[in-house]
Amino acid sequence: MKTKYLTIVLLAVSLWGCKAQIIPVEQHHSYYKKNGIEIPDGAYLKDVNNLFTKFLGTWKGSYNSNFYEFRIVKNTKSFLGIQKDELLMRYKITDANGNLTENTLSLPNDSPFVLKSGYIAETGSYVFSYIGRNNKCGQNGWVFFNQTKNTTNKAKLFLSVQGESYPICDTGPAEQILPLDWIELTKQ
Amino acid sequence: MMKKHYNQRLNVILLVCISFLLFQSCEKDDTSAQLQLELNEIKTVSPENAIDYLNSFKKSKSKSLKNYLVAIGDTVSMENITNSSEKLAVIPVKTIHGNLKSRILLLEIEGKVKSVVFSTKTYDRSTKNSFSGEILITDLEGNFIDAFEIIEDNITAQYLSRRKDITANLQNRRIADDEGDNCGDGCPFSVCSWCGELETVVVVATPSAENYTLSIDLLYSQGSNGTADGCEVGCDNYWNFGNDSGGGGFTNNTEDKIDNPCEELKAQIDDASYIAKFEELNNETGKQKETGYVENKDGSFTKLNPINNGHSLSLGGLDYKSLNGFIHTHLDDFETGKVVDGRPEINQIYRIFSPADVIAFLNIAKQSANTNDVYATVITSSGDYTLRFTGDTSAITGLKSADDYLEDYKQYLDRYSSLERGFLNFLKDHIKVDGIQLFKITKPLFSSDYEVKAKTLDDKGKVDSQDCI
Repeated sequence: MKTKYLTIVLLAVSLWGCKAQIIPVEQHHSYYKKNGIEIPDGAYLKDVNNLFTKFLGTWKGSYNSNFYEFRIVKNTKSFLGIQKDELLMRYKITDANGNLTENTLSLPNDSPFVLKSGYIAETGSYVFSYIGRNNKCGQNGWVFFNQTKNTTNKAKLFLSVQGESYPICDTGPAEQILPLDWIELTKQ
Repeated sequence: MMKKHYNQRLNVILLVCISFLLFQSCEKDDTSAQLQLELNEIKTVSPENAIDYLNSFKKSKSKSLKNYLVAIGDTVSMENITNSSEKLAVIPVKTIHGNLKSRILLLEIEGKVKSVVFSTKTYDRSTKNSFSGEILITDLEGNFIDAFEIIEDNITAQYLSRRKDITANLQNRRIADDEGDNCGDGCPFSVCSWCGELETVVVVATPSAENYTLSIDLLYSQGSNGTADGCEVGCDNYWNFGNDSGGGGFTNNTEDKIDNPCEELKAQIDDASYIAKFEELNNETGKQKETGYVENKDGSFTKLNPINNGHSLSLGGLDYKSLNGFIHTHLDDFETGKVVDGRPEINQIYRIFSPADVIAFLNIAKQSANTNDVYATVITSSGDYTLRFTGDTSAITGLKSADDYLEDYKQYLDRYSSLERGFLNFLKDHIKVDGIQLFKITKPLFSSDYEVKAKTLDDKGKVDSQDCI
């Protein structure tokens, strides 16, 4: 009987020890940007304060005669020894004539063209890492998505171009297809 | 019942017989092994095995930053050992002690290949038949084994110190007899610092180096710990270190230089045209457009074309064969011009090499006839970094297109707060090419000299910084 109790106690202690350290996801950026603190192995960057909820859903708007649809979902990924809650963004762009410019809506989570690897900025915006299909000629950067304060169905978005170009680019700098200035969006 | 008892006795007898036979057999084996050992106390290392041994050493040193050997000769001479039919494999080398004549000596002793670097400084009083001078014996890493002063064939002084901290201290300070004085304090060695650093000088004054010869025991410190007493192996076997016949040497363009990226980088920082670009670009990181140059093989610099409104520089369309490398800026984080509730949206920049930089660097290395000249430098407000290549260019294979690495690259820089740690782990896990060396160049406050640190990963995947001395 004593052995049984001892086993239970040891198991409980082990499980306590194995419990992952949870870090609020909004602190991720400040961890390395401000404090230079390494995220410990096994940590879970978790949306404990439900900050992601306001970003989720389908958002539509127009900019320079193009129509944009953005779909944002939540995902939990495991990488390099940690777990992280993050947002994924897919999008569809059509021009004034209804011609399709780009559509990533059906791409799997691991596609580089699904926006991810983001963080919550000090402004409250969610900042997505962006890679376009013409990445080699400069379709890359950060997409800032800001859900308008005191509303539930309004948001705005723009692309800050990184523009990193690669030696294999032989067609010159790519045209950017995401809005370079704020686009107003309405939740559907 | 009787039959059972009989069988048991028979079994016991049989067991005893088998045991005896086994014992005899083991005894024979022991004897033959002993004989074998005696026969093989000293054995020749063939030229082929000598080359394999040194290639293996050079490969292991390609990741090292503090090379004692500067260059290894291209010939192996097999030299006589007295009272033995075995030969000593001798390879000429250059060490950091430029004033000493040095050779690697390879010999198999008791079944193991032993190597030492044997260096001599000959005094003017030496004659054809009588040696006067200094002898330094180290391992291939430059760790001190023995040193002697010999006057007219007599060993007049011998250092006995084996303290590792002293050896490391000597190496770190790269002590060599550059001053060429006689120390003026009774120290018999032209490398005066040895007298101050090493523990003991024993004057033995024994005629142990007649006619330019030293015993194998003294060369390899077998059993005697480098002293005249307690000799076990090679006591009566001598090698003539004055013999230059067939010793080969360094012929132009054939010596096999050992890469030392620290030395190359320090020499680069001393180069006026490079440092001018380096300092010019250090004033450009606060701008919103990247700036940079490629360095051509003739040492001239060509400005890189900005593209994408200056967000990046074009490395396309360049003939990598004609380049030594490139130097460019990565900008500071910048305000995008968009504001939310009075707060600016900030575009963050990774202030270290991008995948495009790494791929361009490797392509230049791959097409270069001399990788010692190849580099990539990135200038940022939080530190300047240089890449150097010490690996085998034929191993630069299987690379994906640079843009295919961006997703993984961002994951690594997202995961680790240290850019260096994220970058080095990205190189290890995704680029997978040995020999890419990362250095950080800093100029301490109030100092006019640059300091260089080599950045590597330790066994736990964390960044290890070493000073380039």
